[in-house]
Amino acid sequence: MTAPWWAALGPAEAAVRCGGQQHRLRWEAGRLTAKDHPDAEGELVLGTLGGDQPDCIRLLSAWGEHSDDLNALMLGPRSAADTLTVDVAEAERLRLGPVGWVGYAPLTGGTRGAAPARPLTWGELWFRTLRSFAVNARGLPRGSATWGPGRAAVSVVSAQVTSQLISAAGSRQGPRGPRAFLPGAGQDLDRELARRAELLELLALGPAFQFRLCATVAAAWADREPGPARPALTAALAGRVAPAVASWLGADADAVQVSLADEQGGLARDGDRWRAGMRWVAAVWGAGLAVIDGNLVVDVTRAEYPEAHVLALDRPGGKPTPTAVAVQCEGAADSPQGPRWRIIGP
Amino acid sequence: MAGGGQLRADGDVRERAETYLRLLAESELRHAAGSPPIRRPGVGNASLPLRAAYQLLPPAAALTARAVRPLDPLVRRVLATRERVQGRALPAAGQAARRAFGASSGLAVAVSTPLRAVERAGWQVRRVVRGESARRSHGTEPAREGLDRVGRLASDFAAAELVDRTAAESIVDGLESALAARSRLEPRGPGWAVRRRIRQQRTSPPAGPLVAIPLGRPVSVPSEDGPIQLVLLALVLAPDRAEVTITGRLPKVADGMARERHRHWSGPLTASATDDRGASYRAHFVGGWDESRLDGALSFQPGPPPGAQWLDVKVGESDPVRVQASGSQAVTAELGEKPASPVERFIDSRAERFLSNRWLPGAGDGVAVPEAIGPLREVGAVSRESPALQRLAALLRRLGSGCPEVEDVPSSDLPEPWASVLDSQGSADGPSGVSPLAVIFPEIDGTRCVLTGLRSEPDSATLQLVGWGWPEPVFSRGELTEPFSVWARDDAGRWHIAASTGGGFGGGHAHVTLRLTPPVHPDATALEITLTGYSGQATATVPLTWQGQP
Repeated sequence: MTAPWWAALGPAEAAVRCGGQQHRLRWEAGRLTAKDHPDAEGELVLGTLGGDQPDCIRLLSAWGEHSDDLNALMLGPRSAADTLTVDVAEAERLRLGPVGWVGYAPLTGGTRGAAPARPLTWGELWFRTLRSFAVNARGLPRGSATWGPGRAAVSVVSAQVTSQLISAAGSRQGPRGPRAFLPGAGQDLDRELARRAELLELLALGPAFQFRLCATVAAAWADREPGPARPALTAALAGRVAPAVASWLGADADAVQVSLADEQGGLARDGDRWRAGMRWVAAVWGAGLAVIDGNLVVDVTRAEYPEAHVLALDRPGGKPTPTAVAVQCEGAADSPQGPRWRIIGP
Repeated sequence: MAGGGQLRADGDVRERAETYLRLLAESELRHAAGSPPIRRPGVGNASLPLRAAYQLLPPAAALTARAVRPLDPLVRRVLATRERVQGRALPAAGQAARRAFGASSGLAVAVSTPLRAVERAGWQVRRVVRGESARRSHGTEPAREGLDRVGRLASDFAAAELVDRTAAESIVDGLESALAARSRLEPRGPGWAVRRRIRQQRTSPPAGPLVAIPLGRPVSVPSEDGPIQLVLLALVLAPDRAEVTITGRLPKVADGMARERHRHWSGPLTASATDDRGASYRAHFVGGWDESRLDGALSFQPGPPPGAQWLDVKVGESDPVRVQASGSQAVTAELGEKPASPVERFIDSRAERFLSNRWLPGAGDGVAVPEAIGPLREVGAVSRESPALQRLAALLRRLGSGCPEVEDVPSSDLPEPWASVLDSQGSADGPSGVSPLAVIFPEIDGTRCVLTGLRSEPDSATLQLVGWGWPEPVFSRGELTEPFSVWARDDAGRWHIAASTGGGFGGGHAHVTLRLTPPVHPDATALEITLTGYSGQATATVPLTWQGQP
């Protein structure tokens, strides 16, 4: 494989709201750029120094931050048929972060309960736990749990405690009932939520960008020693190889065994397993090349979008054959189904 | 990570375990993706202003809240202080304090009220618009079931120290986020992360002396429903708290609604005390109750100083009772040998569940092999030569289960305690009474605890435990994961296994009620109690001094 991992991926564009205007983000040749910000680097530096950061620049920065984030592979699509429904509103909800209060199961009544340890201090919460095989926690309506020896019950928050928490702390009462104070919504949590929000925002750019982000992450890990990330990389690989191989074989994806190859070869059969490196995810799967016209693509040898030369298996047990493929029509890379490749020759 | 120590399983096994878990998550995601997505709440045919409010108000509320976040701690502290000052539990504040408090309280209210109003408005609009959505499913069945399966196995692998707790949570979170990103689960707001932080908070055991004095003093507390019959079990003095633990019987009430008036019993059970130097203290009740029974403690704030000799404790309108506050007569448990490997310990703990849960209503006679056994064998964490697996196989066969997962595993002899519990199940010959205890356990798995009393009834018995850093038991799908294994043996030769039946957890403190199965032998005069964690075990023997059942 001599082609750069992104050689078979076409350019993609997305429109984003930035400073009250519609701006464009463009991905091309492995790079994301903000078309309406000619001095993006300067704005990036200014933002880092504390200046205002336009949304386009923030997204560019986030793309860089998540370019080796394995969570992107966990959240991202597994195949063209795997549709994500994330939207910017969800990301925004996370980005704003907890406002200091979250809900606990409200107690709607009953004759049992618990009392607080002392006049409540922040973060103290009392509740009672009771075990039972007879009761599945989810089977109970919220707040109907009870306490008492030999009773079928789970976990309750004392109405007394809850009411004290509410009155003491001035909490709000949302649609899910009384809320309790959350201490320590500290920097780590804020950062964690901010990272999740960023990732959702990037995925909300659309399927073309979802595939490109996953390919970027896979490419970043393709040349690294997996180390402790090996289980996560194996799962990310299996999650993408298995549907492709299963659709090619007409088999159940659960029956496809996949392992992570240490060497940087293409996809190969190894006994009862399939082996590949993360480069396969970046260069083949990311470009939407996994299965073309009934052929399983195991590697990309040369590519310049919208054409690519690949090695493909036309049948189980066969040998990989050099095959030329091309995208059927320009601009298809942006479509939700991904680019439509077709074989144009051997 | 359970036990707080280093992961002890072989590196390859740990890697296989994590890979297994992650591949299971992939498989569950694939299956869930094959089911139809959940219906997202929409604004439907709501009017334009309502739709606009639906979109704008909650974010506006969140932004407002964010803007005043720097003020939040002050606001909350002030409001909490007001609650405390106005409440019954603390003496009234001084003049200066009240003036300062009044000013800051006004500020707090000024800041917090409009904020809450905006937030409430946002939520209320959402409620109006959503309508049906309040009753909607929070996820598709395959998604929920798949997530549960991964969650349970992640929890089991973490308990067996095959994956660390953080990795286990990350895998479950990842799957949940992936399901939500495909509309197979309702996406969670940021609150979940913070809730987890609360659950994970554990207070370190107190540095300094821990004193426990058995009391065994009966007290009758008048209440509007009749007298509450209490027994003061033990006085516990720690650097961070002072408590008198209690167990009691509530007055019978014919009309259930009458009981409803007492949403909690902290009113009638407000206590006060005076020490030998004339200093006085206030205490309030902490704990829980059901229709007839009450367990917990009277918590003093502040506690008596170290030099106090005795306390005259007055509970509600009862007569004062003098209790000794010095001269600890506690029994200190001795640390024993380190338990077996975490995987072996994990398998034993699952076997013990069969023994400790058989009394539960609905438990029935059906016995299934713990679902983690198959994966544990698959990743090579345990083999058929494992002593724990052979004990489990023996137990399952004794219970008449022919589980294929352990079909090839030879049986070992059942451990004596297990056999004893099985032999005595169904016994109903326990004495009726209360025995005060004061057993101090050394630190195990970052937890300290004191056993303060045993309450015996014909068909069962319960131990009262006060703990620091005691983890909240995790309840999931009808099963409770116990943080420790607690066994007792009475001197008449009967073994008992303990399991949590109730407890209060907060700020790293815990009051836990442990049910002993089977009941105490009628001829028993002493009890040997063993607490086993992942990092060690400790045993203490205590005499039983029965007093009348309250």
